[in-house]
Amino acid sequence: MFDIPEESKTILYNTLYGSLILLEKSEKEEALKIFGNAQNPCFLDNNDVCTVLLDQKFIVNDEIDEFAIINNRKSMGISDPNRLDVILIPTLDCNFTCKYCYEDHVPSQMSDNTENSLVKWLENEIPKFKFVLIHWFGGEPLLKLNKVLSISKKIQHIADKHDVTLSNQITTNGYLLSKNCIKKLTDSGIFNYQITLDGSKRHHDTLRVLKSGKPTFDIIFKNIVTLAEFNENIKISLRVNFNHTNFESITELLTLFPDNIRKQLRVVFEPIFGNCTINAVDNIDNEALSQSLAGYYLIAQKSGYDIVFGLSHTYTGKLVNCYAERINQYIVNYNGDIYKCSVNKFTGGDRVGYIDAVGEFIKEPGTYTKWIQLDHFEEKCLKCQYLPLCMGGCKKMRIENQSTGSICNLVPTNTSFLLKQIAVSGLNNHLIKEVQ
Amino acid sequence: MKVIKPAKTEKEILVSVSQEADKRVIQQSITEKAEANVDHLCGCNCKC
Repeated sequence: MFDIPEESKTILYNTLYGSLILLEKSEKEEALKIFGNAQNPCFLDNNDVCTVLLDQKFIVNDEIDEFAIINNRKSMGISDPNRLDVILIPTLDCNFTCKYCYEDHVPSQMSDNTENSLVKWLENEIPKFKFVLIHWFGGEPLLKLNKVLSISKKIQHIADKHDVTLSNQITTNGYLLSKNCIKKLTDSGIFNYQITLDGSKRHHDTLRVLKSGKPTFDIIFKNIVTLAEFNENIKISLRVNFNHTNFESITELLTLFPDNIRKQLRVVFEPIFGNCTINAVDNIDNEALSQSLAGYYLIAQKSGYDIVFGLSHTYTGKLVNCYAERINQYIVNYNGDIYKCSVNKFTGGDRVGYIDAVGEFIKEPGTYTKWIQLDHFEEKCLKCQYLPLCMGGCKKMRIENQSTGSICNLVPTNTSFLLKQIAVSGLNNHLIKEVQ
Repeated sequence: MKVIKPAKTEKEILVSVSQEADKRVIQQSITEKAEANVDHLCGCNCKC
């Protein structure tokens, strides 16, 4: 429940079902009375406020187990039988040395034998699903462009043969995206890109540099514009990783792109995490961070950029906390090893299995079982009002912390502020529609 | 009192993972939830 003092109104938001209602002052008082008097059901009095609270599931019968509903959502999300998610890493090598990168960029590439095994495995897997998402990741995947093109072509053939819908994405630093490269990628059906610019040129060029130490902003910026203008169906997730050094330059970055391509750019701001001194959490006050982020998303929206959830990947009806929780999700490293989480050095420790020469997924009994069998939620999550929006937090961190409940993913976004923003943005969207 | 957004039903929430879901519904869900890209974190664990 959030007050809007300037309008003497109150927003009531239901995190489980997404209902959002606007209360006048007297109705708020009535609602508080109803919430505080569970022993005397208000529907006996034929009360209007009560009717809405019941209809919108702010009040439910005692026999409804809302935790069972959340648990079922998570089970359904994990076992999703309709989609296969495969993240492919053609190399762990990279032409950049970003200051905050957690990977070790070893010279590497997928061999022809591994490619053949991968394709055999996909020939068995793809027909089982209605929808397949292929994500190219690295390292820098465009260092091995030919491998990306060769495998993409084979995957497209398998999907077409079995009438499965295929969606291709690539996460790239954008430095090698020449017009020629863009043409080859789009010819292979890759229309979704995730590219990072860490604020304005001055700030980006201190965080994301070539191995030689040379700056990268100008080339990436030019390539993003070329990419967007190449085909209007191309969508680019413009990612900004921020900490205290570049946080305030986000506004400047948003002024730089030409108007005509902004609708193709979906902006995503992510705090730099980790135990390092350059992380965002230890260097920016939570409240300031939340408020500034909300402001930046608003500027982005008003400037014609595409935004989805604004502050966080948090929305009503979330089924899993992260893609890695889905049972039909795999990360295939260049050597055929399989992982679940992409925040990884991919050196073998967290490997959940591998693809063998005949295209079989051989599970690593210890790590695979630990990943799959982990409880849906920590004990402390069961008491958390944000659980329907978060769905239990990062699985990898939970395993690393031995399910002690010491990790909460909603930090650093400041939960109460976050929730207020979700509610207020729902209200604003409604008001915008009313005006239209 | 004004209902800005009505409560979703479980059927609506679980539509994309149901056996009957068609490809269009699945695609729409992926787009709406911005699940097309790898939502990886970026960070360093050097403990410096």
